Amino acid sequence: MKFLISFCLIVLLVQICGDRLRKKPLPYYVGAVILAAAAITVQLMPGDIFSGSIALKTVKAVLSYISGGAMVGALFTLVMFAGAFVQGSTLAKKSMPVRAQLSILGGILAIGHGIALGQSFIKRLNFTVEFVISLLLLLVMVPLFVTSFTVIRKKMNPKSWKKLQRLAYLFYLLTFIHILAFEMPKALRGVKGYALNVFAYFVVFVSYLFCRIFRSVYKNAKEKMLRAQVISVVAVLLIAAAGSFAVAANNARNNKSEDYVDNSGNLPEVIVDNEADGGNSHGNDGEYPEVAGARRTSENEDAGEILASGPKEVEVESSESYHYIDGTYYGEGMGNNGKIGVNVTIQSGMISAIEIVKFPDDADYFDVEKDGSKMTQQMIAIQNAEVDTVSGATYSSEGLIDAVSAALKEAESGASE
Amino acid sequence: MSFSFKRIRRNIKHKTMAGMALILSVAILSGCGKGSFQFPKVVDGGAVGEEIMHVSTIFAMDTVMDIQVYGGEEAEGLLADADNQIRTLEKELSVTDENSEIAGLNAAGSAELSKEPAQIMKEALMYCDSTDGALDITIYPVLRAWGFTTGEYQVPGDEEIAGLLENVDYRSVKLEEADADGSDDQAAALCTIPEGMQVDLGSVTKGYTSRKLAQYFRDNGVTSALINLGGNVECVGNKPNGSKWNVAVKSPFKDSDSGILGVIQASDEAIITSGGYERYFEENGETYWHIIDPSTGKPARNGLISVTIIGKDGLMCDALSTALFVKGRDGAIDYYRKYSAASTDSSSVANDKTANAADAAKQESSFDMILVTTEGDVYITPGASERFSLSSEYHDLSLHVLD
Repeated sequence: MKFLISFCLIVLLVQICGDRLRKKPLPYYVGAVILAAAAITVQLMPGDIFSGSIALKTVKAVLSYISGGAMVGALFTLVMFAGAFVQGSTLAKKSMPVRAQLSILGGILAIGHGIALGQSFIKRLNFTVEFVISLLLLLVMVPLFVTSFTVIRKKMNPKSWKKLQRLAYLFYLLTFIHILAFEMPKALRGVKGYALNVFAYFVVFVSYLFCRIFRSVYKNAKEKMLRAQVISVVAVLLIAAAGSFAVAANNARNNKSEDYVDNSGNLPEVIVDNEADGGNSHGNDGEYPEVAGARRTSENEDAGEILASGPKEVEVESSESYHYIDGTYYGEGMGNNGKIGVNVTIQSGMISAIEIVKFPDDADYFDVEKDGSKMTQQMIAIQNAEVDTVSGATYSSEGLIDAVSAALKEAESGASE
Repeated sequence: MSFSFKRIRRNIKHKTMAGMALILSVAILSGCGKGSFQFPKVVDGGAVGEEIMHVSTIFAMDTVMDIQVYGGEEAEGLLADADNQIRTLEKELSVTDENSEIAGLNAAGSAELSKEPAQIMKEALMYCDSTDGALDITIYPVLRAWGFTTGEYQVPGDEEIAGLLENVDYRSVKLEEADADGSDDQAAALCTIPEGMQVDLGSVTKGYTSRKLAQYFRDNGVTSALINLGGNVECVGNKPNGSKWNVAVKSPFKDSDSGILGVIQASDEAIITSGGYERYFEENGETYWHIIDPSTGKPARNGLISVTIIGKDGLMCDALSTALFVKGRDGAIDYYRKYSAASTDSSSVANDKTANAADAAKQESSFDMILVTTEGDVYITPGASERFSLSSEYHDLSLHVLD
């Protein structure tokens, strides 16, 4: 979603300021540097500073387009597509002249994005695969970025310059992989919204692939080229749509997906049965009770099947930086009766929902059918009793705390949308 | 098919602008639904600026903490500040954070404590004393031996326990208060413990925190707030609509359908429940829970499965919920009669026109309680019986009102 908004903004920018950007790009570069610096600063500050006022929250939300990388992705996408549009077409005519400038803007913001999000990985020495891919991406970008500046370009042999710029294909491919590396794990876990993101990126990148191919193939047959491009884009869209419907249907069947609970301010809930209460869960005169016990999402006996990102290391002490990035994160902990897995949803930097998706599988102590429905019953009883809160350690079950803690560790460094 | 570029070009500029603007607005609007532009959380639903319930949820002190404050814009700032206060306290007191004052004390055997830790220590020791050691803040090594601090549960041998118990004695904790000069920066007290002893203020920290936050909210004009720190409840005033808060007490029974023992109506007080069901493990058919009896070094099995303390002072409620669980039913009732019963008689307080400091202090120390025994009997003090009702699931439990 952020990607889409960013892309629209970039197109508007090119429409309105295209000429100025081409002739006098410097103020735009300076603006980008300022925005990048602001985004980095915001990421480095503790989250609570922004809960004070609407203005600050807006600033943070806006800058997240940069720190999260959406704006970067949008910029480079337009840059790449510019070279895939039919030559002489309106789209090409608008975008080609500012291609270099857009690349530079993208590069500046990319560095901002990289530092803003990368710093938490470095701080924690969390050198995951995704982190390594990101580093690679940044490395490939450097020569492209540097040679985009006219000053540098003029000093180079045009042929060598063109050859070097071919790295852009590798760069764009790596960008796709980079994005998938962060989105796929969550999409696979059935977190709603992420599957949709994956399909959206799929459409963008694969469409580009076809458009670029047809541009080369039909080099001199513009009409054929355009036709082929349009058909392929439509086809990719249809495939992606079909794919996302299939995934959604599959998730609904397995009850694997959990809703992005539109809390609109409700207290954090521990699981709401997906279909069950229907209106009940939100309809209590606005007073939303806190929950003593946990309730599971489905009667799924294969609850243990949920793809986990692996058992996390669990520490008893709380994390000192509690800067949580919006999203849903998974964590596991060892409970009284076995391993427990939770999805923790962060909204506006705060926990908005905790959901148990994996239950202790020791049948002696925990009967998924019986005890799970018992938990559901308790949840309903609490809501119906119009209780405001429950005294007596709600999340004290050690496994649950550990699981939530593990999920929150991921939330500290999770890639935002 | 033939495409005429000329025709398209004529309209493209306007169409693009309109199209992009449209997509943008749709995207932003749908983004709102997903919460990407979410601002202050609202329970009662209202425009910003109106008085609404602001909510904050954080994970601290090893549990989930939920705070609701009713108010206008400023409530958000209060919540942010509250979060900070929780973090600060956690940093000062956490026994597992090696940079905390308590960890420093445990490592070195002596430490200068700043104002708050010193205050908490002092009050905790007071309760250790008044409960004759049923609460003992030096029990930590024993807790660790059972694995409750790491999750690696095990049953320690009797010799091991006996050895550890030699270093369990709150009376050996020496707290020397410095000359009070009002400054927050100076150390407020010097604390010394013998070698091998480890102090943990975990049994009172959440109670202190809720007390502090409630007072902070009151000082800032809040008349309605609800705090739940991992199950420790404290409320400020009444609900926004004027009625008392409905605070449920968690059922200690494993097979509970509703999960609720009953509901108490609360106003401007703390309600803290302790029970073995919170943290336990099973081995060889026996259940071992985290509330240790300092006299035996083993989980307290003195007939109670749940103790709820209701009172004005969060720290007291926290301390007593543990201590009275250890004391058992009779010990708890004795303690209540000694420290609280005298001033709980509301009529005597209301009619006493010459309320003096002693009475005021007594009222501060007065509390109500709800005990649940292993047999399933419920004991409740008169001050709470009027405003407590058992949930329908337990309507036939025998409820004894103490006199």
